[in-house]
Amino acid sequence: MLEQLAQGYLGMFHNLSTLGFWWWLLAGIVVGLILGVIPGIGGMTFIPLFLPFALYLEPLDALTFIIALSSTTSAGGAITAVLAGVPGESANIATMIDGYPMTKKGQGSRALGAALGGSSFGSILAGLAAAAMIPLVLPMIMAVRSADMVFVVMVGLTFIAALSSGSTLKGLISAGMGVLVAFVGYDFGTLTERFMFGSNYLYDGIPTIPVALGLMALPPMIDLAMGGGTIARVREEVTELRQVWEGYKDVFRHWKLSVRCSLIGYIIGIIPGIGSGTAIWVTYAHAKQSSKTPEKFGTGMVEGVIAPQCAADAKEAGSLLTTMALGLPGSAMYAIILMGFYMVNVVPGPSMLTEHLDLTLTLEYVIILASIIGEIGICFTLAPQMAKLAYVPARIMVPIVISLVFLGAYASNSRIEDVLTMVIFAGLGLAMIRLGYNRAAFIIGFILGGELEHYLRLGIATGGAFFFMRPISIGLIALGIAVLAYEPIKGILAKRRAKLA
Amino acid sequence: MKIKRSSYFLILLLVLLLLAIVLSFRMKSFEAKLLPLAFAGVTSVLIAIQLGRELTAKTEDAGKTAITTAGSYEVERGSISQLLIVVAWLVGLLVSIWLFGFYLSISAFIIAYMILHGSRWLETIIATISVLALMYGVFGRLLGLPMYLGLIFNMLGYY
Repeated sequence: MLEQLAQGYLGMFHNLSTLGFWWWLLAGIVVGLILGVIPGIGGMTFIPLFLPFALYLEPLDALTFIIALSSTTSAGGAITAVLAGVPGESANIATMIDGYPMTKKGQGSRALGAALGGSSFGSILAGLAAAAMIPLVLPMIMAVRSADMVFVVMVGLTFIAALSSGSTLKGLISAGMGVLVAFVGYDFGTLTERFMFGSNYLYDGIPTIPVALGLMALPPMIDLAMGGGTIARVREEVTELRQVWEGYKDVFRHWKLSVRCSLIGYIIGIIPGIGSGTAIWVTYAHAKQSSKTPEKFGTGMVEGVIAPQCAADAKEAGSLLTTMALGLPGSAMYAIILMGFYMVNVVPGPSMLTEHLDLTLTLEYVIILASIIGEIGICFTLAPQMAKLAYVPARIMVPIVISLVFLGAYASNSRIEDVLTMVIFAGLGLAMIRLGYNRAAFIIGFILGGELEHYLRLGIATGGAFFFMRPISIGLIALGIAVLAYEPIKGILAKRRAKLA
Repeated sequence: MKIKRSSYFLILLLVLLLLAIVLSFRMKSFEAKLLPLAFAGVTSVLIAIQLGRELTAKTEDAGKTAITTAGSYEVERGSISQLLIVVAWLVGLLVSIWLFGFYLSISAFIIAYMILHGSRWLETIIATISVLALMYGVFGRLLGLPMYLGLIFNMLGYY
C-alpha cells in the first residue's frame, strides 16, 4: 500500500508539473468566482454547459477545471452575500446573516476578509484531511466487491432521499423516478428494447447533458426571468484592503472555531445526501452556542461569517472523496460532477484509489490550490470589482444564459431532439421545485441507475441468487433500513410522548 | 375534498409508472424487466402513499407568495401568467430553432427579449454579437460542431 501511495504522489507531482493543468486550474478558478458572485447562476448551470467541451480535453484538464470551478463558487458567492446582502450561492445564506450587517456598520472589508479567509481555511484543512484519509479509506474500499456496490448505491440513494431537504417520501419518489428514466434504451446485456416506443432517438437512452441542463440549469433562469430587475439592489463600497487583511487574521484569531467548523463541514461532506445547507446551519448554530455573546449573532459578528464559510468550502473536499471513491455523489452539484467523470471515461469507484490514485490526489489538491490562488490571491485584491457582477440586470443575463443552455443541449450529440429533451426536463425540474421534490435525488438516481443494474448483474453472475449474503452487504442493508425507519419511528415516539404528557 | 396541484402531478406520475409496469411485463427477458419492474412497483407504492397523505391532509398549502427552499436556491412563487410568458419565450425559441436554426433564432431571441424588457439598442447589439461570436468561434470552429440550420433552410437545400 505504501508503494501504491508513493506512486500516487509521484503521479500527482507529475500532473502538477504540466502547463495544461495550471491553465485549466486558473480558468476554473476565474469562472467559478464569477459564477459564484452572480446570484442565480452557479456551478450547476455552468458545468453541464462545459461537459460537451470536456469530450475534447484530457481527463485531467477537464476534471481540474470542473473541480476548481465548483470549489470556488462559494467564495465568489460570499462576496455578494457580505457586500450586497444577497447570497451568490445557497451555501452563503448563513454568511449573509452576519456579513451584511457588518457591511452596514462600515466593516464590510473586514467581513469580506473573514469570509474569504474562512473559505480558504476550510478548503485547505479539509483538502489535506481528505488526502491524509486516503490510506485509511483504501483498505475499506478494496474490501468492497461488485455485489456490495449494489447496496452502496442503494444506501447512497436512501441517504440522499432521506437527509436532503424536503420529505423523505418525496425524496424516494424522486430517486425512484430518476432510476427508472435511466433504464430507457436498448439493453445490450439482454438484447431488449426498453421503453423506446420504436424510437431510434432513445436507442442509447435518454442523454445525460440535456437532462442535467433541463433539470438544473434552466429552472433558475426561468425564475430569474419571472423576477426580473437586478438581484442585488443596494451597493456598498469596499475599498480598504488593510481591513480585508484584518478579516483574514480574524480566522486565525478564532482558530479553534475555524478548525472545528472545517472538520464538521468535511465530515458532513463525506456523508451522501447532506448538502451544504446542513453544513452551514450546523456550524452557524455551533458558533452561536459556543460564543460568549450569542445574543449579538445576526447583528454583525465576525464568528457568524467565519463558521459557515469554513464549513461550506470544507464540505467540498469530503464530497469529492466520496464521489471519487464510491461513485456516490452527495449532492446535485456532485451528481453533475460525476457526469463529468463519465464524460471523460474516468469511472469513479474503487479504481480511483488504486489505478487512478494520482488523479484522485491531484483533484483533492486542486481544491487546496484553487483556494490559495482564488480565495487568497484573486479575491483579496479584486473582490470589490467582482461584486459589481451581481448588478448585471436579469434582462441581459437571462437571454444569454438561456441561449447557451440551448446550445449546450445541442452540442452534446449534435441532435436537435436533445434540445426538446432539455425543455421537457426543464418543465419537470420546474414542477419538482414548485411541488417540493428533490431534483438532486432524481439526477443521482438517473446517473446511478445504469451502474446499479450493472453491479447487480455482476453480483448475481459471481455470487448467485444469494449474492448479498456478505458482511458488508448485510451491514449496508441494515444501515439503509435504519435510515428509512428513523423518521417514522421518531414520529411514533413523539406521538406517544405527547399522549403521555 | 380539494385536489391540490401536487396531487395532479402524482396522479400523472402514477399513470406513467403503471404504463412502465405494463411495458416491463411484456419484456421477454427476465433480466431486462427485473429492475424496471422493481423500481416501478416500489415507486408506485410510494406515490400512492404520498397521494393518500395529500388527499386526506387537513391543512392547505401556503399561499401564492410563499418562499420555498428547494434544491439549491430559494424560490418565490410568481404568478401563473408570468410563468406562462416565460414558457412561451422558451417554446418560441425551441420552435424557431427547429425551423430556422441556431444562428437566426438565437439572435432574434436575444434582440427581442432584451428590447422588450427595456434594454438599449447598443447593449442589445453587443450581447447578440458576443453570443454569435461565441457560437461561431467556440462551438462552430473550435469544437467543429455542425450547427443546425433549421428545417426551412434544409428544405431550401442548405445543410
